[in-house]
Amino acid sequence: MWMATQSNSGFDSLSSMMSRHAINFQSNTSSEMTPMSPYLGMNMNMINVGSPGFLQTGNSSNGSDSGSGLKLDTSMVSEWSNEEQYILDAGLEKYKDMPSIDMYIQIGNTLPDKSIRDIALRCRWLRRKRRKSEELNCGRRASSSKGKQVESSSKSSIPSVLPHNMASYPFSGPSTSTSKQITSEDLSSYATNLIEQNVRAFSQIRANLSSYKAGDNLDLFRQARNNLITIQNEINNMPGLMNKMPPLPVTINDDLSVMMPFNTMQSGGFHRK
Amino acid sequence: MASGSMSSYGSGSWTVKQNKAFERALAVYDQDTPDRWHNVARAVGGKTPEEAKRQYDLLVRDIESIENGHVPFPDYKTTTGNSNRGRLRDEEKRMRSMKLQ
Repeated sequence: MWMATQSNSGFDSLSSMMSRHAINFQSNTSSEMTPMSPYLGMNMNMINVGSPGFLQTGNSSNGSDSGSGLKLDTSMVSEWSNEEQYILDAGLEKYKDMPSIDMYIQIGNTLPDKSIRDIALRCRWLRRKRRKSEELNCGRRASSSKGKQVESSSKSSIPSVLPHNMASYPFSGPSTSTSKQITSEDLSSYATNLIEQNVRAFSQIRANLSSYKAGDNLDLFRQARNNLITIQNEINNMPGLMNKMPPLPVTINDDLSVMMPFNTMQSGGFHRK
Repeated sequence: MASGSMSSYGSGSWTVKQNKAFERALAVYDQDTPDRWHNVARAVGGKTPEEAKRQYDLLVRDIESIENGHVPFPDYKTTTGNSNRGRLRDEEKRMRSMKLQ
């Protein structure tokens, strides 16, 4: 699926990816997934262009990766880019209810340059590092901590704070239905799904930027913008006690929209479940 | 344990591509899939269901060794030391991409 997303930049491919992720997210115990088409020959990208730093020889113990280019394998094992670390953190949060072996397998599907053993080693190293930092009462992993705080903040205070400022036009999203009666639980569940969609979209945007496929991000930005507008409208149209809430302290920034040729005729929103 | 795993790969070795295809197939055909090893072996290509099952057992054993602390960590210091610099590079790259549009 990762390769399909990379090779085919169409909207249907993205929709298919989201649909598959939705299936994975819903069913934890048993799930019937559509079998994938035969894999391409070049499934693994041996060169990690976006990885900064120097090549170093580490004690790599991944026996299954033995083959040509041992030096390159070693450097890939020890080097984790910020993007890969972000994808790993998102996967740990998403699959935390799974047994560890299945969690590593699912995360490995989202990191084409890492093996399952690499992911398991990294997770254990992170746990030990976090334990050390807690003992020393210091915040060593500042960027990762910030990312997690933002995520938890957006999840805990969904009705009052939008997670990001996005460039967009001030018009209603296509999936908004003002006539429907919505309760706070419906909004919370619906908004949570939209925010999680945005998290995945931003993760994909980062991946596209790192691989110099910025053109593929237009659909992702459009989707994220529509999700934010939908959430904002749902909050504003909330009946009952929520009407007395003060207005949102955060508004969507429209300044960047003049730089992007958004196609207002095309609807990029996802349907409600 | 690691040396044991290494010797196990002597016969019927797996290339890096085959192993990655194997791991992706495990994510698609999860544990409740009927005929899992048949589907996984077909997805990898050139492997039998028995070989796929054996490869999975080796993976489970390796993961248990990693989680029990029997496998030494690779050198992660380079990436950690350059985390801020890497982030700045990401920002610069992102700004460059924005201007190109």
